[in-house]
Amino acid sequence: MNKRASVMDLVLQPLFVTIVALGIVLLMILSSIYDIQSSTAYEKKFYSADIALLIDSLFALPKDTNLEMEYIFPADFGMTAEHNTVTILPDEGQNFHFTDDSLYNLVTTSFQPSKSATQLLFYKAGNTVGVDNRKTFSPNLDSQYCEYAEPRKLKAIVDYRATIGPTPTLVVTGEALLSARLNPGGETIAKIYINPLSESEQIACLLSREIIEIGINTAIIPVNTQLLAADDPRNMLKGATPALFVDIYGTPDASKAKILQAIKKGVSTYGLA
Amino acid sequence: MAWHKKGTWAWADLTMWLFYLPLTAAVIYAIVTVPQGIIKTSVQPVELDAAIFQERTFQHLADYSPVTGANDNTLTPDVEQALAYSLSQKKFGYKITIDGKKFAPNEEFYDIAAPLAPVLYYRFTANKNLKTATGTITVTVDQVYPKKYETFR
Repeated sequence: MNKRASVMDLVLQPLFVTIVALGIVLLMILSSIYDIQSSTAYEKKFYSADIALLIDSLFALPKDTNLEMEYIFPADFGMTAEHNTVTILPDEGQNFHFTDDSLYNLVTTSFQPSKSATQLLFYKAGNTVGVDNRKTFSPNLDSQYCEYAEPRKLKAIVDYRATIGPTPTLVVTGEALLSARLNPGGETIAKIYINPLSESEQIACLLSREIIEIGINTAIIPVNTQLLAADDPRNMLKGATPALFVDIYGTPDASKAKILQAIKKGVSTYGLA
Repeated sequence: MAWHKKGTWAWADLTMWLFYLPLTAAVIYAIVTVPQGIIKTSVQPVELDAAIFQERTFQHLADYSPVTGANDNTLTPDVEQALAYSLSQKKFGYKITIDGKKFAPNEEFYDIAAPLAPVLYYRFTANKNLKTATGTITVTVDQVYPKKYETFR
């Protein structure tokens, strides 16, 4: 009886109660610190927000800027970036929104946690913004940006059988005119001469983008046709319809099929009725 | 003396129950929740988001010339189209003022939120000069964001 009473006395001792209470408090604090330190939920939230804002900031770059940047990513996580949302995998608990931009073509990648996917490449090249995790991938940072425009459909015909050579050849006829010439000498460049119409500028931009893709630098040059000599082939730029004269310097004959294909693709991208 | 001793213990119990125990509970609660709250707040980058969107809007409004291959800070002729390029799921409102003309793609939310800033919403305003055929004009971007992220459903 006495022994029981002494145990109860001990349990009810303020010092004992205080020690037990402090123990509980300490356990809760340690548990809380452990939760914070090992919080993968926080890490996932952080990476989803960081990547979403990085995509948003690529859209905010000046239109003439091309860049790529490497981003170290933890091997414990995977990622998807679809429907304006970046989600960190595994378990799709944590995500963050970004805002897609119809001026750009967004190319993203989805991957599960992998030891080989510890580095992402964010890039902006012309009208493409992307995220890639392939080690061998390299965006074309020479790509040209072109404004999005709702074009007036032109009743023009592309001559798919045309070939280009040292004498100017009409590749497009109708409501738009496009003539091309191959100049074997000089530095490799495609000079795209245009008449001063916004439609000519837009076609030239799309054309230039395709020609850059095959590794040839371009220059778009507006021409004052009143200053041309009578025998200058660029006189075809006179008139009220969109007109372009593409003069390609320093390219071997072997490239001319590719060049012609790029020209036709550029014109087709603009859209013909 | 015995009565006095009992009275002291009664007060001590009362003090423990009414003061020390709630105080301990409050301290534990604060220790557990404050760091987590700080961490969650750090993933509410509203200011950064607003700065990015503001720059993005200015870039959309500035025309790009394929001839020079550069953005020449000239105001685009079709402002409404330029603003339609990036419509967000995130809940925020914005108004663009160009030479007295106002454009607010999500006007309903903006009109509700703007007067309640800065109490319930954050508000960010920025100006930029853009060129036009007649000279230079000031473009103002005014944004309001909830203090914590929400999305339009």
